[in-house]
Amino acid sequence: MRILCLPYTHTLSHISRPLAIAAALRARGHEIIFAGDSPKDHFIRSEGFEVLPAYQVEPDILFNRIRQGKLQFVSDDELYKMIAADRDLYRQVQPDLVLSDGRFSAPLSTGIDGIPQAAVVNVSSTEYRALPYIPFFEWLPEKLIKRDSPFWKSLDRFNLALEMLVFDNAATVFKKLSRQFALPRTVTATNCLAGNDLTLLADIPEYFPTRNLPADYHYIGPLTWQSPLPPPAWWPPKNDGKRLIYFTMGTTWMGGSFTTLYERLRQEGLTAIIATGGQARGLETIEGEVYVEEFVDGDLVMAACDLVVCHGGNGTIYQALQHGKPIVGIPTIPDQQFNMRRVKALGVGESLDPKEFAEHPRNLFALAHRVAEAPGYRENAKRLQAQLAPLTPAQKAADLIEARFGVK
Amino acid sequence: MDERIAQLLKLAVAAPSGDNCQPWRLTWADGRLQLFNRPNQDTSLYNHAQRASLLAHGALLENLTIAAPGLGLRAEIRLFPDPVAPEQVAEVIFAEGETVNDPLSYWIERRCTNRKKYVPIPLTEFQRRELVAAPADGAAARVHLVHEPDEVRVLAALLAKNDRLVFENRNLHAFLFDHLRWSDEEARASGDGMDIKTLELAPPDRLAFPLLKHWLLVGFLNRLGLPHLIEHTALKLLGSSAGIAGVSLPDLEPASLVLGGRAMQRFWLQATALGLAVQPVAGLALLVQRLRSGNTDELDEAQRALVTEVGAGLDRAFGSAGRSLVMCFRLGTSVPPSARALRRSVESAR
Ligand SMILES: Cc1cc2nc3c(=O)[nH]c(=O)nc-3n(C[C@H](O)[C@H](O)[C@H](O)COP(=O)(O)O)c2cc1C
Repeated sequence: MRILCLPYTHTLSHISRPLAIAAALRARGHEIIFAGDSPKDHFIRSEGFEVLPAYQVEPDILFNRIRQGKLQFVSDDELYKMIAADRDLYRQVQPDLVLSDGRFSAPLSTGIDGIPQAAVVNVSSTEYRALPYIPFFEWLPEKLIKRDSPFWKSLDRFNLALEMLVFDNAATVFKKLSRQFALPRTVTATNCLAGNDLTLLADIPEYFPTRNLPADYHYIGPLTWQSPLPPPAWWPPKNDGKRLIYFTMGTTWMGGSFTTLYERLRQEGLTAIIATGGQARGLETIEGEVYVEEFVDGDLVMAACDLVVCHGGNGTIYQALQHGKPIVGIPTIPDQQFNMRRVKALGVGESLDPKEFAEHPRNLFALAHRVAEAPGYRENAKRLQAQLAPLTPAQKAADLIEARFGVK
Repeated sequence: MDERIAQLLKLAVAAPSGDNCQPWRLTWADGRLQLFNRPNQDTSLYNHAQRASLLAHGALLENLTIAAPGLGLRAEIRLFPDPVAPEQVAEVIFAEGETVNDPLSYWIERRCTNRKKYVPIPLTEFQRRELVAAPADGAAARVHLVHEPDEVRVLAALLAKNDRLVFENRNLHAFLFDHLRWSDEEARASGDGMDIKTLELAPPDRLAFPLLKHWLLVGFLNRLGLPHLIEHTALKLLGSSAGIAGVSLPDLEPASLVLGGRAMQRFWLQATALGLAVQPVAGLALLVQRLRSGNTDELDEAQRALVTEVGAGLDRAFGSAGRSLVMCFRLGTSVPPSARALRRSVESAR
């Protein structure tokens, strides 16, 4: 098959998942072509895949909207432009299948052109999630309503219905276009990241449960970023028995706080490795205390560290769990808040409000020490590690794709 | 007849023609194909000097040329081989050639007129480039493409006047209604004209439309503002376009028109390949050229003034002054049309 991969190439998480699946499919003889327009496209090229140019919404625009809680995360014009760009690609590539990850125009454009489409997505971005994305009732005290009571479950269900309704009505353009093009599947703001024909859930049910999952949705397990980077020159870190904490703030850090973080670390009696994601300059490595890198091989560092401090991005959390490491998160967007609620519920870490961190950076360290010390977090993380270890998500994805769309 | 020729002819007559009048006759003898025009197939004002029909002949010949290599043939075309027989549009000789598929050939039977309201998804740079480059290299015909929303609006307003003219001018009105087919059976039986479904009328309009067949009634309704209503509906459709295109020629000699028809067809096929819906809105452009050629018959003073004004406006908007604009199209993204115009069989075209 000739497969066109459409990831949102401004974020590594959306690149890494289709990239892993693409590698598995290529090994089985399929032809894979990517499209994107971000500086990060070189990660795809360096794996030997072609990347055709394709219009995408700039990440600052998109993430600002999301951070500001704007429900209409894409304007009609932007979506139109994406659809037009997708369709140009279809003319050029003539794909047998489109595999998307984070490209919300894909179900519409493939629907218009009658091209089969599969998507990689987190359960949180599907209409079959069993847990609310924005919990409206979290403020109700546990004492009043037990979280495992039937009443709470109905509240959850009501919550889910309500949040999807609100979301869909904020970005009605998806529905409108589905109607205008008489598409077999009605695309909505809630389900626009899913596939028309096959949806691959990069999750495990325990971390992210679903309800009423249709037959064309499948859990494949998390596909975390496999860094091609060699170990840093200073590797291994010299922490002399001090606790080793890995700070990884992805590529969407709020900015500004890195220096604060850096200053504090030096007073805390820890050893830290900071991956800045290229968002901080002028911070220097101090042997045995703070190691600063723009990007590092996460697996290498996670294997060695005692605790992972992050924003609560889905990829980082799964990666930490794959190494059985507890987590402290400072979530800044609803997606990360959601993930951190799961981290807490599964007993593998704790969450800190970014405002609290900005005002009292010390609280982060108090929390970090607590999570690293208490054995419960580590044990739970190890339990999930054992669940994740046997999974082969990329191969499972390739199997599902071949079973659904053919091997030729 | 060679099986391949029969196959080719079927593709050839998938060409578009004004109101699907299919003004052609084809004969096959001594290994040569002769293409004749049938002047009485289209007696509308639009077809002054057989211009609309010659465009259709060009489209037919382009289909032949594009499809032939896929069947291992090469079509050699001689236009107007007999200087004293203007009805003989072309003679085509086929030579054995390499078997290669022209990518446009896939679209010959998929190309169609789509009169639905479009979704104004903007044209991409890629689409615009491909559309403007659609006429073959060195073609004298030129594609003028307008895609900026403000400019599209200007053109939409000019072209919307075409539809009102159809209800204000008896000849144009008669031509349209002569070519409408009111049921599937009628469409199949005649094999030409336009299935009413291809007009994509909204349900209430669909009910009222048969009444508009009657010129007396139309005359009465015109006094009540029917033309306004019609123009308004047309404006909505034209306004939903992502782009409006024109095809212009250096002159209006019959051979130029046939070549223009070839370029028009390449443009239309390319647009189809690019996933775009297309509707010609050619009436006014053709009326403008008719008037400019000095033929003022059958248009009253107001209509002449309108046509003159629109002509100037079109040239301004397309930048086509000094050339002869013969076709206009609206382009956009849409679901497929509700119905397709049928064709008479190749046998009956002989
Ligand atoms: C020269 C020419 C002029 C045309 N003008 C118009 C027009 O003004 N409005 C319209 O809706 N269709 C117009 N058409 C489209 C024809 O009605 C259409 O090609 C015909 O009905 C066959 O349908 P098809 O294109 O779907 O095969 C024109 C076609 C040609 C070749």
